[in-house]
Amino acid sequence: MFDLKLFSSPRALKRDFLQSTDVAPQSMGPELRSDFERIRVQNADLLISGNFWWDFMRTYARHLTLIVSLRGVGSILILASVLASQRILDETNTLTASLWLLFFYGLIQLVHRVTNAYVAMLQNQILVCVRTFVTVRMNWKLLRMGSLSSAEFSTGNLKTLISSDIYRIAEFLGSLFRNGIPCLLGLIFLGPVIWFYMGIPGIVAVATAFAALPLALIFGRYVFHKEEIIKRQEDSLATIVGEWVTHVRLLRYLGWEKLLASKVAGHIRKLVIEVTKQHGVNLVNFGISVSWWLMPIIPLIYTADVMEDTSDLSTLFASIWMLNHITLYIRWLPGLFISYGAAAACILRLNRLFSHSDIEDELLPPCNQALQGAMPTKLHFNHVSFAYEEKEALTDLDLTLDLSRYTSLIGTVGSGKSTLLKLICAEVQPTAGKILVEFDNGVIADLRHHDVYAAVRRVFGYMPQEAYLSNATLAVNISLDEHHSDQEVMQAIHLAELAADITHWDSGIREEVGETGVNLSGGQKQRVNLARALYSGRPYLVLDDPLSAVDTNTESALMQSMLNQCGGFLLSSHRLTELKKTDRLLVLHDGKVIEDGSPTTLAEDPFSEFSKHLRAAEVSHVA
Amino acid sequence: MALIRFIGTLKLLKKIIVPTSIVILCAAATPSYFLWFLGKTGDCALQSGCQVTHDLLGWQVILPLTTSSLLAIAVVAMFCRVAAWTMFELSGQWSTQEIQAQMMKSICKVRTSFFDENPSGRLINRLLGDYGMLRLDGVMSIGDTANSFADVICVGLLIMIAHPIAGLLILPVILLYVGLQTQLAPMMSHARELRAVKIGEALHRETDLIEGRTMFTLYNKVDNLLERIYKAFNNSLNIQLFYAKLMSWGMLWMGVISAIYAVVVYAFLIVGMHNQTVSVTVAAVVITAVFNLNNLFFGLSWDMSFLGETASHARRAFYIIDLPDETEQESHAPQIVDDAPMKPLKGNIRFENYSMSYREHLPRILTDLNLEIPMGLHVGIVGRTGAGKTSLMQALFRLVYHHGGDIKVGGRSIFGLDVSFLRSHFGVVPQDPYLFAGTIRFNLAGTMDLPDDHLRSALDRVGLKVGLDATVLEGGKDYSVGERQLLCLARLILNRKSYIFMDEPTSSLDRRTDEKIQQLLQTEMSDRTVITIAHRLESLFHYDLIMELSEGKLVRQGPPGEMIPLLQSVYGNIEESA
Ligand SMILES: Nc1ncnc2c1ncn2[C@@H]1O[C@H](COP(=O)(O)OP(=O)(O)OP(=O)(O)O)[C@@H](O)[C@H]1O
Ligand SMILES: Nc1ncnc2c1ncn2[C@@H]1O[C@H](COP(=O)(O)OP(=O)(O)OP(=O)(O)O)[C@@H](O)[C@H]1O
Ligand SMILES: [Mg+2]
Ligand SMILES: [Mg+2]
Repeated sequence: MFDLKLFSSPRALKRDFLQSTDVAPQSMGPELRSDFERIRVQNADLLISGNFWWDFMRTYARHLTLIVSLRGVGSILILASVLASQRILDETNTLTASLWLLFFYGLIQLVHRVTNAYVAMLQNQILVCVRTFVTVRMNWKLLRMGSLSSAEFSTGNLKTLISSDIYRIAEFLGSLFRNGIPCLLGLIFLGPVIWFYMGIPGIVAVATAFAALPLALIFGRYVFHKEEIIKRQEDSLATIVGEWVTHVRLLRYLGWEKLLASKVAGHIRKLVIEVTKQHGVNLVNFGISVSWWLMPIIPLIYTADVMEDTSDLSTLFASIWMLNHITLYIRWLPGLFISYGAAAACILRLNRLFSHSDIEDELLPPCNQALQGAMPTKLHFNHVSFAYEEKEALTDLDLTLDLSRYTSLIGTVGSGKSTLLKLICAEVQPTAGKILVEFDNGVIADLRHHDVYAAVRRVFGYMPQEAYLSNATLAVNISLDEHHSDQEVMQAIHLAELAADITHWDSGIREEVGETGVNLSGGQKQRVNLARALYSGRPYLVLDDPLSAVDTNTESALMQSMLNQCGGFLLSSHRLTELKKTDRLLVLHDGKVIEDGSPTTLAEDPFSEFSKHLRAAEVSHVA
Repeated sequence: MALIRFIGTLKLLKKIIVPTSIVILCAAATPSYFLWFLGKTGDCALQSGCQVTHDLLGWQVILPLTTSSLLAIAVVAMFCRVAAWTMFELSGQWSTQEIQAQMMKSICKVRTSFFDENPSGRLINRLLGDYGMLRLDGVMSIGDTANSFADVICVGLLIMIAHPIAGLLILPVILLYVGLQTQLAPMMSHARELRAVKIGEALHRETDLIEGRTMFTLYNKVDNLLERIYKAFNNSLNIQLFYAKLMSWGMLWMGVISAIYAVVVYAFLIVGMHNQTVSVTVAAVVITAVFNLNNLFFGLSWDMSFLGETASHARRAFYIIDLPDETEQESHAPQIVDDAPMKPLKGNIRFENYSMSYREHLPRILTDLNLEIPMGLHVGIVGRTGAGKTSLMQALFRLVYHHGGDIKVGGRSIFGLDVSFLRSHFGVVPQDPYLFAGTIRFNLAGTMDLPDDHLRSALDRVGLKVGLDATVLEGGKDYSVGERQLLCLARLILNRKSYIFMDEPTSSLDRRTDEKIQQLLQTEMSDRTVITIAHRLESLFHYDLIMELSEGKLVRQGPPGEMIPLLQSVYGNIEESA
């Protein structure tokens, strides 16, 4: 904790600087690292145990006590130096005695500076800790929440939550340490001394020093309200700009850049108006408090005068000085309230995120049946419905899916195919009805039981309809792991028909795909996602429209890989030819299964939906 | 440098700079005056009716030495302080909008691959983070520095008046401060730059978590993901801590300098008092002033370090503003000038020996491409995935690096035209049907000002049943992929462009919807030039011409009757009818 090297020469500092700006992770400190580890291990109760501040104080109790006690030492040193200087002012002393006292005063001052520097450093560590503390918790929460698509927690908002809200909180804490705690301690240590010296006038002066605070409290509330409005504007700004920089090609196709720029300008304007209001209040508040230190002196002199206090000038000035020390911090207290206002708005938002239910919260306790090593074989849908907020996507589904078979799913646009697939691999839970899982040892249990859910999540490889790519190498995108085996990745690449594409790339599977895969073509992105599902080696695959962006030739090769590489799959598709190779075909319409059977029989039946779909193509040839 | 330029952009602030500086000076001077006045009061505390007379521009101002005058001065001090900050900060807030506008303008024009090279986290941080800091702290830090500076000067003057020797001693102190700053400032600014980079990287890694968390949880790779995030995060914290260390180091030494100064001044005072040359009141005033001066020096250096931060934010903002225009970087070929640059385009689209890559040094995707798309025809483009079909479209929009050859529309080279004018000729359905957060109306109409029933009828025609004011989340996450594609088609129908470019417009539509859309497009687009990229050959049956691309070259072309059987042998059979 005390590796600060505060007394090193500039040159040594520079050398140190050059070393530590390398990636060497040295200064994170054992506290932080253990916080990471601890949260990893017992994340659950840390998140649930609610109160942010309490949680934080408990975690960093050692740090905090140290800061507070060092601050206390600082206040005592101030007191000592004030007393020394008061003695100096006292005319009765001889010159040599005064100079000695001055020497002591100087020493005290030096010690005080050093304490201050250490405290500043400690405070910064705490600020770093708070960022870690919040970020780590947020990360865990997000992972445990699963996918959700509410406007409040859209990607843009989450990004501002991580990038700016956490700083607000840290800012507040910083201000608390810089001004709040010293002020409080100053009051505790110096206040009684002023009283002792000056009696009632001293008390009046201290009270005057604090008189500006109630106003600051009122202002702080206003700031808090405005902060929420400002946050909203900032969120929309972040969303627009985020969309802009990630979809610049689309914007240029559509010629919408000016449109978005004017939208951004509009939001900025609104933001500035709100901020102007907020800061207007802030400034009045700050202006008053910064000049407020002049005020306490007046009643001090005045009351002293009225009460015909006999105290000599040196006592008076010693008191003024001590007052100065208190007001020095008091003047920044309004800033503290204001930054609390801003931080509180951010914490409110964080707490809304933290209080969002986890996937696990919706799960039931383990079903107490022997599931060890058992494999799910069938899913029974029991009057299952699913609705996105108010929009019903699947209604009253009754259906049994044999996982070890090859099942395909077709249906009109928006008929609920993707939703059904998400239900199958337990990405989402039904809003009504239940899904029963049948295991190979004969156990049948509700998917919502903890252990059943875990067992189901282990067996599916899921390929979403929209490709997900992270800004990393191709190999990491396929394996989601830096420590992969190249050979297995290559195998997945071959199966996903990507081999031909990577021959053009200099670095092969180490090629960077760019953010959201910008360096790849549409079909390549899709196949990387397929390769990921194949790489996972999961027994069953859930594939959402894996063939939409590839040519017909590649399509049949991919179908062959999928049939060979897994013990069963569920696949939705709009490409019909290859579906005949599957065992079972479901036709969805408006959230209901309207047809179910073997594709070949359905194709032969001229009145079946499937054959109608097939014929749709034919009609267009003739036209 | 960046700082000076930044101050130069603050237009509104410049207009009111004279009153602002006067108020700042007043705000700085009044507390010192207050102390001085207090000293005078102390001097004649026991006599009644003592007063201070000022001669202000010929006016006689007489202030009685009473507590109410003290109170009045304190109130004036507050008022001036509030006024100074308000003028400075709020006008700065408004002025900085200009910087944001310029950044956005520059982003509108920068080359497209710039966005591929820079992670979005970094760009967002520049466009919003740095701007936000400039808006909130930037102007404030300039104002604060000006304030602190004025404060230091006023208190310095006060000390000078009260005790000239103590006043002169400030000079070596200032020299020491400057010396310290020359050591510290470069390191601080370097550390700040590094910190910005590292924070950007950490945020960028968080993106993986936000966007890809379902993938990572499903495949049980959460630990791996977190490891990556924490590595980046750790780096950013590291530099943050080092920065803090630098600050503490600087603070310590500045504190030591000012403590030594105070002790020396006190020594002079004590000696003076013992020699009876310094009265107790003067000593008290000087001590209070020195005490304040120390804090003010501190404040000044604190503000200066914020000023340093502002400079680095400003530097990053100006980096964005100064980015070159996309046309300057899209080619090494000499600039072509069109004689009538704003005349609407009309005629065949011809690629002549055209070559491109996405960035200058990346391998070429289209090489010596020659093809002609006759006006008014419907042309289908097919090819294996990764053949360069989408690249062809990007080439036409001038989003890529141009290595050679030319693209002409109606005989005019597109490289001689204004870029946005060129782009306004084409209607597009992109391969990835992304919707912008907002409403359906916004996504449908965009820049067009159309009556609602137009919009509704377009939605009807593509068969989409949604309200115009229904909300859309980022990317259109709350609609199925097919619905998004239909919306893109509706948008295409609405804006009547002369050239239509569709990149697999029906890839996520079911057969029957697809078929309906094909018919709709045929009637809607009959008089326009249509270029469609397709993987499903059967959707190209009624087209006029089919072209096959492979490895960035045109392999063959012909009418569908001829081409489709040929292609069937290469790309596999089209669906047999039942
Ligand atoms: N932004 C980019 N930067 C670098 N390389 C790119 C970029 N976009 C595409 N490429 C590369 O260019 C090649 C051609 O891509 P293009 O998108 O034109 O293919 P496509 O024919 O449209 O394929 P698909 O049918 O899969 O969409 C691919 O190999 C791809 O990796
Ligand atoms: N996140 C969401 N929020 C609200 N509504 C949604 C969301 N996702 C899908 N929907 C709606 O639910 C319905 C079913 O969507 P789903 O994605 O399952 O369709 P789909 O059959 O996969 O369609 P497509 O063939 O276009 O992919 C659609 O009407 C869609 O608008
Ligand atoms: Mg879908
Ligand atoms: Mg493409």
